[in-house]
Amino acid sequence: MSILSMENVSYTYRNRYQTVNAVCNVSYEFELGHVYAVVGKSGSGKTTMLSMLAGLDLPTEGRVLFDGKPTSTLNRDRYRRENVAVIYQSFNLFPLMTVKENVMYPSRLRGIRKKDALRCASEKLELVGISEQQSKRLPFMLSGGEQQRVAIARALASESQVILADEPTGNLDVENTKNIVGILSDLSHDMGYCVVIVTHDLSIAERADVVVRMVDGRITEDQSPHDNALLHCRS
Amino acid sequence: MRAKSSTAPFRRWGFILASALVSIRRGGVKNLIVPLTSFVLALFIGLFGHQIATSEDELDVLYENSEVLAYFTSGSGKHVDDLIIDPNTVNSIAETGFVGETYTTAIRNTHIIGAPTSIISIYDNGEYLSIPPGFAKETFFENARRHLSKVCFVSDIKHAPEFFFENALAIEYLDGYDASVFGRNESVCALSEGMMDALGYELGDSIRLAVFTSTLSDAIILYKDVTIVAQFTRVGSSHLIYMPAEQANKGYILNTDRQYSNASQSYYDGYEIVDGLVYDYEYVDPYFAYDAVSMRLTNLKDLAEFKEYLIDSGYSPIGNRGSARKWIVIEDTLLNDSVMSINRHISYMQILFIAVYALAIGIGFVLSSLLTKMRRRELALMRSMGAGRFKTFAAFFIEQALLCVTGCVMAVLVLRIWNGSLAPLQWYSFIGYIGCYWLGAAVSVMLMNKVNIIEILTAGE
Ligand SMILES: Nc1ncnc2c1ncn2[C@@H]1O[C@H](COP(=O)(O)OP(=O)(O)O)[C@@H](O)[C@H]1O
Ligand SMILES: [Mg+2]
Repeated sequence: MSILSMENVSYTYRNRYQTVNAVCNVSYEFELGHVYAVVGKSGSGKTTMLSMLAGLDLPTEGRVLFDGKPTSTLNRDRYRRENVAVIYQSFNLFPLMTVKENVMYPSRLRGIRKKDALRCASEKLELVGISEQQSKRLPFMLSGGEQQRVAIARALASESQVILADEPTGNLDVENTKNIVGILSDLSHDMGYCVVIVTHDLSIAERADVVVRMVDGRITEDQSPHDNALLHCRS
Repeated sequence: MRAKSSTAPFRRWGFILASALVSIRRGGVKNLIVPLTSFVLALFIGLFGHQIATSEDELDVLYENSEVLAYFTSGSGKHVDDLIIDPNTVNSIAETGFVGETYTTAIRNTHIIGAPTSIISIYDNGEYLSIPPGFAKETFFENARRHLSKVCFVSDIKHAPEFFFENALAIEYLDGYDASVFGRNESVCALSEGMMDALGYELGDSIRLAVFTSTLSDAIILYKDVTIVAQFTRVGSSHLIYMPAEQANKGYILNTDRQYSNASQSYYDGYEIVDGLVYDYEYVDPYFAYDAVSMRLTNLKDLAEFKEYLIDSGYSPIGNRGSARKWIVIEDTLLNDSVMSINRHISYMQILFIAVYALAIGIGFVLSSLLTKMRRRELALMRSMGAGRFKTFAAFFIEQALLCVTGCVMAVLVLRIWNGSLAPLQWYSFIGYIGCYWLGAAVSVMLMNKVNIIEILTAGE
């Protein structure tokens, strides 16, 4: 069974000046152990969709289901604490907390003992290749790639099974991008996470198990990894 | 590793608090602006509080130490004597709790037996009083009332009507006596210097008085031996003899000399003649009334209540005519003026207080807004990681609240060093100040907490 799914999800931004149908009638299922790449032009509704998956907002129509339960019926603060973790393009870390404190944050927010949270954080930081030395620094002392790795470590520390990333490599060079995507796909394949990466970087899409293409708020096709070549040709 | 233990909620909140402290510690120099501003504002508040507390103390001292006299007068307010004041009335006023001391004066016609006649009495033939042939009794007493020298039973000679409007009472006491003698029940008297000279008396001499109380239907004649213990400079128009008030209220120690008693019996046939009363017999004059009463008021703070009581009891302001046809003047103008000027000072300070409080709300709002505005991203991150609205509010509010308290504590310390201990009012005003600052800060954090977190999180991508 899919861990996260969308059923006829639509999202409309309404304000004084305009009405934008950012996501239109989208249905899709995400499964554990897979890496999904959501690609599409800027403004095609990727971020909007991700926000709904992340439980930051509810669909205007349709519903998002986590483990079969609609997010509208869940306590969404708790859902965000325990079930999904989000990584953004930049500014993911609390600037006044050390790297380690940042990674401990999700555990501490859930009321886990400091000692346990610390052990967990060290573990996850090691997993993404951040040294003990670096973990004592404040985020601004790290490079962009290192910061994103810390963000991944923090996502792991939240114990969620779903990791949503909105253009996590948007600010990174090729080398770091490779590194980050490598970590995410390893996590997915080795540890069974469901990873959804929003990107317009086709090199990331290449490494995903499934590529979801969005155009004007709709999912036009989803392709298995084997069709990656096809994707290349079209774009 | 699901956290499901019962202590988890405490740890969650403990974590929020700890994070706030860390954030303060690492927030840098810009965080200093809050304690510093707080320090200055709290210092002002503390000083205003000190001013008000001092003024309130002054007010207490004023109420405690002020002398406010009240006295019965005629309807015009011009006469304080020659009144007929029922002792019961005086007692019930004294029982209100607003009267510290009551000074009473009761005036009786007297005749000094055996004294030369010139000043004392036209009827004095050298021995004792008699109704001359041809006088009706009523006429006799009317004349006696007019012409005999009078004895004033006073509880405090200073407050006797003769000296009432004069502040200078010149009086000389016999050795071993002072003004308090009028407060005791002793057979003593004070005569004017003029009378002493005319009669050839000296301080310490004993004289015998015949005291009359006459009404239309009755007369009481009392003989009394008294010692002259004081002489004073006369201010009034007639020669008065002053005796302790108690001597009028209680039974006189009567002269048991049969000669006088019998003599009076024969002379004033048909009138009750006091004779042979035992020494400790409590004699109550059924027609007894005071001629003048003044009172030193206490409990001055609630003087308005006393006035209300008086009006309720039928007294009226001078010039008006109340049902009781009694008038009491309360001399509180001076007190009122002082109270008013102190109160004006206090209300001025209170206005400043309110201004600083309003300022505290504003500054709390502005500073918190400035300090947390650039941290909206952090707030959005917390929310996206599942910190509830209340927790993010707490995280930022606690920080601002603690910074404000820090400044306030510094102000308290400085004021303590400066002024010594703080008045309760000052403590309350600090709490009020903190409350106001917190209110401003809370509103600012609350507004920030309302922002669209998705917009913040996806901005700059
Ligand atoms: N807060 C908003 N108010 C109005 N329109 C919005 C808002 N956020 C996004 N949109 C619009 O919704 C559409 C989808 O945006 P978004 O989900 O950010 O696309 P993407 O992430 O693919 O670039 C765009 O047309 C965008 O202009
Ligand atoms: Mg986007």
